[in-house]
Amino acid sequence: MMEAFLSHPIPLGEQGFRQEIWETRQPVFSDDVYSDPRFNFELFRTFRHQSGLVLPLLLDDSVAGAFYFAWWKAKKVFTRRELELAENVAAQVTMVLRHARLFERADREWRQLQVLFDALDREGAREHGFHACLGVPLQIQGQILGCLNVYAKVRRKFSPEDISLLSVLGDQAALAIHKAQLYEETRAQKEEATKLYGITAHLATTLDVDSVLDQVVAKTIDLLGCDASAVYVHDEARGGLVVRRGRHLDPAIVRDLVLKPGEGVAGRAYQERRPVSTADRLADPALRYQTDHDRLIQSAPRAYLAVPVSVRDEVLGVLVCYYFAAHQFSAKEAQLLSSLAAHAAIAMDNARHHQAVMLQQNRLSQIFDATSDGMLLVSPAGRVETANRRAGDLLAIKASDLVGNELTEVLAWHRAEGADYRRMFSALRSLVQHQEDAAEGDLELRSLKRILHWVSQPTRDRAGEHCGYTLTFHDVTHEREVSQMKSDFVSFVTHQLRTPLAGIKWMLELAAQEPEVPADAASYIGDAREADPAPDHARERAARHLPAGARQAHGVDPAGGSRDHDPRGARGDRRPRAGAPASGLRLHRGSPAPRGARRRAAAPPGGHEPGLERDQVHPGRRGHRGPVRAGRRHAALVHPRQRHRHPALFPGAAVREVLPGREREHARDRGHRPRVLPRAPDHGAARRPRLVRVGGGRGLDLPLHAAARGARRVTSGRRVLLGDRVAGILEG
Amino acid sequence: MGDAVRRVLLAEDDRFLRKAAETALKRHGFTVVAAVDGEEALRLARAAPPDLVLLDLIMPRMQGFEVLRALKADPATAPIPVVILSNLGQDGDMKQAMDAGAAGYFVKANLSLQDLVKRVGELVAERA
Repeated sequence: MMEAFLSHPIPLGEQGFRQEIWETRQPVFSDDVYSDPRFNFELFRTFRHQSGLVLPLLLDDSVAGAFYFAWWKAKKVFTRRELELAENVAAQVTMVLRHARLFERADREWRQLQVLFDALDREGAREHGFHACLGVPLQIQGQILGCLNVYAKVRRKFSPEDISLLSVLGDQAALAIHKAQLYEETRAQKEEATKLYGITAHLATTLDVDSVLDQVVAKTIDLLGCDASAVYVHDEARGGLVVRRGRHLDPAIVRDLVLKPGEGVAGRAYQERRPVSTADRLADPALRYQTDHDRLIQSAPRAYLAVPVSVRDEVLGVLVCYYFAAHQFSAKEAQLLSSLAAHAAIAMDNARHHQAVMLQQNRLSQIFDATSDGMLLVSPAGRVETANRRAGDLLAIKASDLVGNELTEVLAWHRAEGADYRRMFSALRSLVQHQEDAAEGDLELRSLKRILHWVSQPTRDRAGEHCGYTLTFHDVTHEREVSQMKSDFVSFVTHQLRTPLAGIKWMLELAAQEPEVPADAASYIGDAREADPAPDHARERAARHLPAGARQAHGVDPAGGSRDHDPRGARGDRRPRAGAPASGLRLHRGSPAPRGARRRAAAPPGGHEPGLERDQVHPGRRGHRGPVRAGRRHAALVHPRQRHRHPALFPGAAVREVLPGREREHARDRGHRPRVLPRAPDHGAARRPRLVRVGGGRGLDLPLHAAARGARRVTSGRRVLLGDRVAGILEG
Repeated sequence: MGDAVRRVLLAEDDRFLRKAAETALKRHGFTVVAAVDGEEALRLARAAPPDLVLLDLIMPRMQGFEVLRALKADPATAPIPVVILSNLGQDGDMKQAMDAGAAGYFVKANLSLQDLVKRVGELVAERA
């Protein structure tokens, strides 16, 4: 038992009760040692017991050590008497310790005197004819460095002045020797620092962890003068510590040795997170290895010093230095190896972070290059910092050639003419100057016959500071072409519809001006002129079937509402940046204009003033002026049930609609057409359902929808059906 | 209407529209020279520059835009006000016409003859 105790020295510097003893110099007691954190060190874990008492050994008013009492199973409770007894025992131990120290001091001084005595070398002096000799010790700070002797060939006695003079010379000599020793230590420390600096400098120049670790193991041998060294790391796949880099070791050890945490010196240093050494593994019973390592260990060195390679409380590995013969390691060696281990830790940590960053960067790079949109990262100064492959494709410039150029220069390469370039440059300058705002627009590259929709988003760093912006490009050429084709088609159809109707209208206007027109004919002409030509009706139907882009191109709000409301405003994520003409780069204005702001004074009848917007086109239809505020487009979109709100649009409407608008639309979608039920069977019943008679008794048969929209007088009141539902009542 | 007889060149390929507009303008004292296509309109304008040109856009042989650009490119005809009289009503058409130098743009379907005569009279009077 005692042998086992002696082989497990209590490392006082690492014990929980150390500080308590040093500060209070009072006993420390626990009746549950195993679970008491103050007693949490290996000795108590190895020899489990119930109660313990630590008594400080006070020597010359300082704590020289501790005396420990253990109770294996009893939960000990002390009486005052027992405690005094224990303290007396500790005092006796202290006395023994004091005597031991005094003996040690006396022995040291005796040996120093022996050195002096030997230095006098009386026999030698006699052989050289010397008869008198005086020696003084070379002593500094209580330490004997040597002695200074003077001899005389005549017999004489040395006076006190002689002794004093020689003592002074001895002190000077001791001081010189001491300085020489200090100089040598300083030089050695400088050499160590230089070598450590070499490793540090190497750390700064490479992220190759193996290269740095090779430096560390080489410098370990160089600085410590050991025979071999190695860096172990934990390998999850192999389930233990393996040699990552080694020097002067048996290749079989480097290749095959796998140490479990706690196994051998390196395993213990890894597990206990502290330097561990053995002066001779063959004489160290505390070292344990797995049996299957016996063959490998036979070729291993004999003396080991291992220190953990750790960073931020995480142990990354172990640095070990070896001697092939038994060697007692000093604290200085442990300190030096720890410095080298710190360098290894930095190298491994850097490499680990670098690998993580590279992996992340590689993933982001793949995503960046694989995205279907072109992306540019632009610096606050407007310089392209990064471009993905798609951006190069869209701009017809190699992506790597984009990087480093001014964005305005890049886009100017595609300019078609000076005016476009100036507009584009102006817009981009606005973008650069107000780059903290998001923006979007279209970029027309005429040389490539390509239209790109771009979106700009500010980029911010982790501190939230603006550090540039990201430009995303999406090719909308095909979408714009399709939209333009639809728009052109509708424009053409509208033109073809309008032309004959305008001719009829103008002819009727001329006819109405003839003075000799009979009253009946004048009435017909008047009714016909008041009947609205078809384009509005056609527009309304077209608006229901056209895509949003084409509807917008023809003045119909895609959302079904007034164009005064800007639908982009609802997104709320696009703020106004700058305006630009239609060609080149166009910047949308993100904020919706105030309602009514875009309304202007009515244009001249039927005319279209230059510079006015579509909303301001006057309907130009007789009887529909005045209350109409937003133009004909609104009239075309008024829901039938809302017609009472627009009396001027439907003067004298004679159809009282009873079928809800939505059901009426569904009926039409199912192919039903309006038909009018006859009041009573008559001869024209087969023909009448599709026509109604308007214009009083003289009558004019018109299609039902025309009558519904404009007839003032309806001769008969009959039900109008859509499918099997009553859609309205014609009131005579 | 001023005392001087004003001369209007009407370029319109549609027979009914041409006849209606010509009749209305003549009734109000204008002298109307009619052209049935773009080439004829350009030739007539160069031969005897009118006080005003009413120009349709979609015409055979030469489109209205081409006629407009040719008139404005020729120093002899450039000062003549050209008013587009078309059934094309898109913003792009209007902007293109105004950029090319048109003095006005009327959509026929939205215009009565009375209004047409009134506006023509105003434009001619402004020029005088």
